[in-house]
Amino acid sequence: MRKRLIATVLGAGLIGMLALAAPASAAPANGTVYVVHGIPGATVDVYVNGTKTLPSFAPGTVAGPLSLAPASYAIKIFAAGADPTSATPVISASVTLPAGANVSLVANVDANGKPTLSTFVNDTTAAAAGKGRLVVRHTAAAPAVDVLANGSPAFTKLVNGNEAKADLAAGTISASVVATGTTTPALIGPANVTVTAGMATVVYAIGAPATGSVASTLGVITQQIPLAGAAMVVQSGTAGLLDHGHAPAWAVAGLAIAALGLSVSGWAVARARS
Amino acid sequence: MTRRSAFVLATVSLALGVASLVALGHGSAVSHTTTLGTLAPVPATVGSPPASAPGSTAPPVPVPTMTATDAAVPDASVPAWLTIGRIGVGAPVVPTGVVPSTNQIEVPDLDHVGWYRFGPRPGEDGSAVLVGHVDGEGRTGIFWRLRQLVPGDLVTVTFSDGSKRRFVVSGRQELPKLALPPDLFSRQGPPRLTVITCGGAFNQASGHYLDNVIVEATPAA
Repeated sequence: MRKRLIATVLGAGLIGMLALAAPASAAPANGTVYVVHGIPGATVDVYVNGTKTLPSFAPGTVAGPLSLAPASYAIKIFAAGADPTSATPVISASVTLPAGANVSLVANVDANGKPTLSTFVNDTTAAAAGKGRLVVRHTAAAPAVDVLANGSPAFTKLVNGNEAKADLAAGTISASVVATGTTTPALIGPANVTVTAGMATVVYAIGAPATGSVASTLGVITQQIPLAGAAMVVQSGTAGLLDHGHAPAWAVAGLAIAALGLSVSGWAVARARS
Repeated sequence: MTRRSAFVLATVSLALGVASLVALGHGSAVSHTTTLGTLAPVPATVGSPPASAPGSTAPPVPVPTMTATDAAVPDASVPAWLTIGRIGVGAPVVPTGVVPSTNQIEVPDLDHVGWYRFGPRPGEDGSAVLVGHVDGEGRTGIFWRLRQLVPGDLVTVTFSDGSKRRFVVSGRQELPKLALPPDLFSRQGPPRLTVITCGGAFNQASGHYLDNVIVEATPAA
């Protein structure tokens, strides 16, 4: 008797330990990647870890979304058609993608006009109901700028490589980019920017101002990225007409027992009388 | 009960309790997969280590690209009519928004279906939300029979330009009103239709049902 008791206790303990030991295994979540071509005038081939991934990638286009495992990736960008074994890449960079991240890799020019690959993390957390997220990224060969929305400064002192963002009511904004601290002339725009509820509208200032005989290539390109949802409340019934099929089981059982009791007593009465 | 058997019972209960807690931990882990809408999935060879030789002769992976322009779609067609033949629903659809300063979706009158205009259109990426009353003002509402839908039932949305999109019911669930998953209101993920009304027990004191009945539908092939 005593040995059996001990065995029972140990057995129960072992079951508990086995349950504890089972690992909560979950592979690290893939990241989401967009590739944005923000260098005017240069159609390119984009190689990822040595594989030609985006052939003839034109300026002003966005590739993706790509679902990629969290890892480091070697990105090499060549002029379209160039031999990657002998040509010098226009851009060569290593990008580390964290698990579950949402990023935009942007081929653009730095403040001095040199081609570079910029990495921006996209904030895809939910916006309040009815709002979208406006994100402006300075990826142009220009000094600090202000961004005007419908004539008033929305973001100020934005420098190359940085972004500014705000959640706004859905609608259309007339936006322009000016040298910081000024309101005219518009370096870029005015241009209509649509803010969509539940989406991030990401606006990139790209290009370079005029130099000597080369015309200005300043401009904006835009991408839309869906945001996560936020729980809403739906109140859609006030008359209470639905049947009570959701009554708890004990209430239904209780009714059944009561009904049985009534019928038994009724039968007993009937028998007594007969 | 003897002290010894009480001890055994307590130990077994503790072990089982621990086991069930761990199981709960497993079960409640939400795995969130970012699906890529209607775009073709990218084969896993992209970026897989080790790096292949430069100038590999493997054909380029077809990655979706789009021109990076503003999203404005002037005068876009909106849902105008909803048909669910098996439960006798044929009703006008109106765009609805949010009750100001709340996170409540506006629900139109008893005979109209609301399309939540701050989400996608039916057929676009993400969850397109349709709402309607189950009852009110002493009578049944347009979604009185929504709770009878089963997987395979057909739902048709007609748009203001006359075009139609068909959806097939993939599931139905009933959840407490304040515990609706945010994913039901997300623009992320593949195109899907989410149809919501009230259900469950009715609270006489507040005059509201406790739950929502939620029907999910996916685009018909």
